[in-house]
Amino acid sequence: MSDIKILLKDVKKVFEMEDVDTYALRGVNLEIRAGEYVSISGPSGCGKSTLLSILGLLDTTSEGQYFIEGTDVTHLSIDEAAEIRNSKIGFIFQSFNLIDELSVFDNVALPLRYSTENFSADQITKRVNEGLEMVEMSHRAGHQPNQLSGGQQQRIAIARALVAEPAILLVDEPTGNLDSKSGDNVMAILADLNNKGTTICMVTHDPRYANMAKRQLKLFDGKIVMTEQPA
Amino acid sequence: MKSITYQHKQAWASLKKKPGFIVTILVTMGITLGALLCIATLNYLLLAKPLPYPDQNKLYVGQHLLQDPAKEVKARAYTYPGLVYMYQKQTSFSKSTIVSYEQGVVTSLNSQPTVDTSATTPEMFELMNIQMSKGRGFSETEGLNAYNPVAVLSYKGWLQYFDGRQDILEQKLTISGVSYRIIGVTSKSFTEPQLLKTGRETAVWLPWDYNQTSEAVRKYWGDVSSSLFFIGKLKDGEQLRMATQVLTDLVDVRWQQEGIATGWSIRIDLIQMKEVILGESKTMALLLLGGVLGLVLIAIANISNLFMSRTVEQQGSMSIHAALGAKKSDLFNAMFAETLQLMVMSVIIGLIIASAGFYVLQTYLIDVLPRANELSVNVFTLGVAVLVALLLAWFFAKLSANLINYRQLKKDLQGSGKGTGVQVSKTKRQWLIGSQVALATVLVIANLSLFNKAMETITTPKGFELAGISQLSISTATSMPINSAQSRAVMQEIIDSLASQPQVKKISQGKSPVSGYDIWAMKEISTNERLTPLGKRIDSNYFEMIGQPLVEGRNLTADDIKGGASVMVVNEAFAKSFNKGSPVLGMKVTRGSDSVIEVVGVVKGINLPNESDQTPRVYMPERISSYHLMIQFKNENLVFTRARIAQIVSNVDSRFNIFRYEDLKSLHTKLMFAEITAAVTTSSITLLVLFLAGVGLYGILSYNIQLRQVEIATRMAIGAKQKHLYSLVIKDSSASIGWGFVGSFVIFVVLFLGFGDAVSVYINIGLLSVVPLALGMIVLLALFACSWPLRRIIKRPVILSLQ
Repeated sequence: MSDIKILLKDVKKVFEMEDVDTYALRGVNLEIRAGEYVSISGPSGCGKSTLLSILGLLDTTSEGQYFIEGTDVTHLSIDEAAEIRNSKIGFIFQSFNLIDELSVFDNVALPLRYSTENFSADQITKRVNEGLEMVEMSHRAGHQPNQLSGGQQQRIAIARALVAEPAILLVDEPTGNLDSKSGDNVMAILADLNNKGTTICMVTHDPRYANMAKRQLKLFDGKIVMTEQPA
Repeated sequence: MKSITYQHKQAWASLKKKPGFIVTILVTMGITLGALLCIATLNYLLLAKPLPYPDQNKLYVGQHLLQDPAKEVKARAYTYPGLVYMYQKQTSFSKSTIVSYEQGVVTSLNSQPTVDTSATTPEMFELMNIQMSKGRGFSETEGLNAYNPVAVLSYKGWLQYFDGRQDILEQKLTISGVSYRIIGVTSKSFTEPQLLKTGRETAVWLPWDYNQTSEAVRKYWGDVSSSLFFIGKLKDGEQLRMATQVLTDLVDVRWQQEGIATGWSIRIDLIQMKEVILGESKTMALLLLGGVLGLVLIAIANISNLFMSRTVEQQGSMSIHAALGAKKSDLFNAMFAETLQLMVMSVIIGLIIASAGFYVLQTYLIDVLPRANELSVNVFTLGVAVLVALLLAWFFAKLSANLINYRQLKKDLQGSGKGTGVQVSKTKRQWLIGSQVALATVLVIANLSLFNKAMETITTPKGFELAGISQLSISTATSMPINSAQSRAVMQEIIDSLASQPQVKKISQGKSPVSGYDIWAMKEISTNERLTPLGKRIDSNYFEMIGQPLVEGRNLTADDIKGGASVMVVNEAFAKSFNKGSPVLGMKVTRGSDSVIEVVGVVKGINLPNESDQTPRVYMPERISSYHLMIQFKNENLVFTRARIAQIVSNVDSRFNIFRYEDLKSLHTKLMFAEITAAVTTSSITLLVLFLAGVGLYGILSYNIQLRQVEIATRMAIGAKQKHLYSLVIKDSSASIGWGFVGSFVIFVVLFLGFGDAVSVYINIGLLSVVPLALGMIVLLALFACSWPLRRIIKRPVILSLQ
């Protein structure tokens, strides 16, 4: 089996305005292999968030093809896309996006509850506890998200993203709403995860954190203009 | 003053940018306030406004009650001599009058219209303070036994039948062969007390002596007529109870002297004229008001939601105002200027709709709603309109202002603008959903229940056929008495002439099943039991023509009719209720004379609107001189016109003319007018309620979903499918909807406990049959309101909702 997790072929994205079409992506080709840690950076408006949205099936392409683990996911129905997001993709957002009305435990368990695999209650408990342990937040399982600090919330979000064992972790400016200490902690967790084999694709405009990735992509005006691979 | 003008200019400028918002509010509030103003004015008229007669609270209508030995009331109608006797002998009233409500054909006019006439005494003009637009009313020269043939026209009658001609006085008017000299026209403003029937308006007033009661009945104390009325103004200081007793003694003693029925008695009840005119309409008016208030509350809930959403939308500009020094009261005043403008416009539309409502009520419900002819936009309507506009404007402004967290608003401008300065709390949103559901459920259940009742009457099998059958009533156009033998001969000739027409299938002499029955007092010979069934005279063709099957015994024969046999056919209800298990065939009764009438047959019952199917009915041979015919046509689409019938009748004898000619289908439909009106009204209100509730629930739930947009998108991002999201939203709303249902139950209980007597007809066990349907409708509506706004989020790229 091929170890290519993500494959984009000449992907374009056009936003149609009233009188003008705006190209956010102008033919992006990208391959991410298992175990890679890729960062995408570039100036504001270069298309990095759009690229991450397309990678996460949160938006669709205007042209081109998109494969996840060899499956063409370019044209999916709403529910098919949801199923792929649930089973293959884990998201970490800048603003954490935890659901206030749910406890920490339930927030982490949510992807398992939406899964087609019909996890038993015991399986869910086991997986959630493992996830919380991994981010050292087991002691907060019964808390509500608004009782936690920003750094703690982002750790919970990481646990939630990983609980369904996705093929790839998509991370959008993970430290954008955190102080530097919390940001460093979160980045350490991501590095650790990658070292243990998790494939990660992260959007950031902070060069310090972009450098922590094993491969850095620079996006400019909707195109990948540079790929850097630290020695 | 300058600042108020400035605020209103600003408010209008801001509103103009939101035409959809304006239209939604004007349509919702305009319609509902229109209904409110219309029904509120009706309630004022029926419940509070005095009758337009002097000393109206002293005016009483005397009711003549026929009681059996057990003092049970068997009839509420006067005997002719009893009424005249009471009028002449009473001492309890300072002034009294009697009136006989009738109809007559005006043969002196080319169109020969059938008009409503009232025969009365001169006191009517004084008691009702009838002002005249021309000439005079009746005076002593037109009193009892004066036999002065004069007539007074109503203003409407003058315009309708005489084209308002100015030289109307001293003109002649011929009714039933009597020529009357027209001496006056009542004023336009005079409103006649509608005692016999709501909506009936006298076109011609005649002196009492010229009422149509036959000479025989004028002397007979055994027959009663429901068209006879007594009106009196109670003397100052006279006690009502005392007057009732004195009148009862007066009439009963005289009636007993006639020996009509042993053990039976007469009682006189005095009812305030207003009560007689209004009848049961007060309850109807209050229920209408309740229904309309429900609609208004739903509309207010909807509009509250719109105003709250608008406030949320406006928080940016409010933050700027707050930062520039606007106080909370300034923000309230700005909102009040907007809400006031919108409510004033809504009320203006409401007044136009209310005027249209008055027209509809006066055109279509004049026979159902007492005093409907007095409905108009008056001081009361305008007062309510102004009050409602101010109150609602204040309420909506206050509601919106209460959403503003003034301190947070100022911070919003300095901060990230995440918008927490204005938010509708979760409790408030749930309360709005619950109250919408509760009100909508109450109104839908009540309307469906009334709709069911009306449809039950409309769709109940009649038990007889009426397609292709018309009712013809003939009258004489001469004052020369036509004796019975002459009448018989002419009627036979008319029947033969009609029967010989190729389009005609059959003729039956007698009134149709939908033309009404009389109450017949009878005595069963073996037990001396007094019976009061409904009676009708028919011929041998009657049952066959209308398809009413015989179940026992025999039909009336042509010989029975010809010989005027003392036999009768009864319906099953009569057989069941009066003969208590014994065979009814052969049962013998008398009717105020020595002649013994024998029951020879039993027919199946029929169902007429507003009458129980268990109503006992009897049928006796019609007199062959009867002026009433039923014509059955071979093809129901090829029936004769009135003109064609008139031609046939006048060809036989020009002294005879058409009094009434109408097909039975129309007559039957007219009988069901109240039910048809109820069915149309309740179904329309149900749809309106569902529409308003739908708009309201959609608004609130849409706002709910708008607030949860990021949460929903997050769930989508981590793999929630459509079913997960729909079930999430539905589950979240179901508690509020459930509480709404509980609330509706509580409203019903409160209504029942508070107004048990008035609403027991409407709130009873029968409601249960429509509850599942009503709840189903509301649940479907709520499901739609939940899912439609969610659909918008699901259908667009997730990233757009996450941003």
